[in-house]
Amino acid sequence: MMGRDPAFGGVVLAEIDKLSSRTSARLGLAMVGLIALAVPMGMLLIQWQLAPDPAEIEAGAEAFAFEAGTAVKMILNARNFFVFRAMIIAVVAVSYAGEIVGRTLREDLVRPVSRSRILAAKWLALQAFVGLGTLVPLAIGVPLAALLFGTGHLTDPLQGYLLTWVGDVGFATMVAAISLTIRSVSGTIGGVFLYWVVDQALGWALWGGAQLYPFLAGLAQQADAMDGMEVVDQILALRPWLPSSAFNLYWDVVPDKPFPWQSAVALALITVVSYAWANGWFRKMDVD
Amino acid sequence: MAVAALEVRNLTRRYGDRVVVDDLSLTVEEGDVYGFLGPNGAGKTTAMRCMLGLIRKDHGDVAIFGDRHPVTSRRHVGAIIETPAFHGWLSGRRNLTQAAAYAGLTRAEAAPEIDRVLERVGLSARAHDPASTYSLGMKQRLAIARALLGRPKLMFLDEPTNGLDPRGMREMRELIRSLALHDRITILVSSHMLSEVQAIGNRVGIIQEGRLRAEGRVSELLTLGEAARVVEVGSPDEGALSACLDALDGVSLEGPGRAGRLRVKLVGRSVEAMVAAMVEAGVAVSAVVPAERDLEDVFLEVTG
Repeated sequence: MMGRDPAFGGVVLAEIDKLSSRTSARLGLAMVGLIALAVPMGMLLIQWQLAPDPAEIEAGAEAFAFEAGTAVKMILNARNFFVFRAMIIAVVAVSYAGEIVGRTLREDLVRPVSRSRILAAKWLALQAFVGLGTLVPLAIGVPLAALLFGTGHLTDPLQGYLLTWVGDVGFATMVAAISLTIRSVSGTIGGVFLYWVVDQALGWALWGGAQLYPFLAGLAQQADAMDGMEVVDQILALRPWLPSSAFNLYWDVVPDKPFPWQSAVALALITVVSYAWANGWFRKMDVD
Repeated sequence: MAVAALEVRNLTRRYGDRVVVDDLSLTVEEGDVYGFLGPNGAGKTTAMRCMLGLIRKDHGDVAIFGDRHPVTSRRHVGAIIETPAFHGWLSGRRNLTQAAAYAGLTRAEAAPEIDRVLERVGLSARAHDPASTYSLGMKQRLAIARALLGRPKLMFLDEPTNGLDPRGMREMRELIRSLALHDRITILVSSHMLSEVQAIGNRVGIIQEGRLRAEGRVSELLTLGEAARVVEVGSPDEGALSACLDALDGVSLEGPGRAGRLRVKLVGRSVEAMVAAMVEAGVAVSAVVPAERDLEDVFLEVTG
């Protein structure tokens, strides 16, 4: 036992055990579980309000698309409406910056485990939490929705769940990089908020530009300056590359529309670059 | 030739223009309880952090049992740097379970090892309480338990008695002494509590402004720079004693000693010659006791 190199799997399990004991992580999973219970029940209640006679329920279900697939999709939308992302930020803030500020990370760093391995273990534990945050609503929502509404289009939203998980992996990695760089719990939250503001501002600017584009193109045509419009066109085409588009990939993947490959590539890039940044930063960082 | 437990060569760390650790070299032999002394802000903690790889070093070399690799060299190390930190919502035992994975213990090995270290520091009864409910003394003992996981051969203890009450300090001192004696752990302990280090250490290094000012065995350092012999002389007639000593060549009166004796420094005159001169002068001599020098004297001489 003396002087043995710690097994990486053991370190990962220790990190998962620690993260799963955190209040923020438990609260996050409880909230998405609650959403998975509340959404189908709420839908059932609305359906019952619209068609109180049980004999009409089936007909009503068809008329208003009160079916299992809709319930499972609405669970996903409710989960993704800031709830779980907010919990990811909270969990990352306390388990990355929080451990530096609280000096518990220092206790791990004096052991014979390289910083790259420690970061990898922490990242895998975080991704286990992210994965559970996707699985829990699915595990509760699918059987409950099937029980309440039958199995109509039940599997349609599964691709959305998969893409949500992929998006959350990237988002959590970016937040981890911010947290390690800023080394402050409140700074992590502030840093992510700043990213969000910039990203949203850019998104709205590009959206606004796209709405104005025909008008601008008309003006350019009158002025015989269409060369400049090519640049405008290219800038407006950047919108799918924005981080928000990348993290919300699930939203843009819909039948009969081309797959948003730009967002998928952007997500892969953000994930890889964030991880590489976090790793490089962590390896050279002084930990008091 | 035996490999040193810790060998530090030319360690340097700067913060901007300020040199906090300045070309520091020291050697801790296996079996030592090495007191790393220095005034507050001397660079002790920074030096220890550099040795453990917590912070970058600008220059220098650290070898632990001959291993210079920044990660693998920590295989045989346990450490407490400043105030120990724990996950407060987890029990003491669960904190140790976390640390055991980082110490290279499998789950099967961890349980009995955790029992052993908790027993060793006397915390078994409170092992299942949240760490946040522990007193500072208990946290220090839990930190020792954590450092003992994996059976380290070298332990870094940075100000381990800081903030403890006298009873806690004594318990910690006993524990450190016991780790060295019974567990045969080499210990590097930093402190500005000189009596503490004198009580438990066999070798010391004194650091000031990031530089090592003196290093050696405690017994050697206590005689370091002692060109003259200092003794305490007692007599029923203190006035006559004082007048006689004042008149003797090669004897300088230093001031009051213990138990009403006078402290004198002998330069070029033996104790026997001094006593003979006093007897000849008719002064009754009731005691001649070698004056004890302690680490505080050495420390003040070295650090100015």
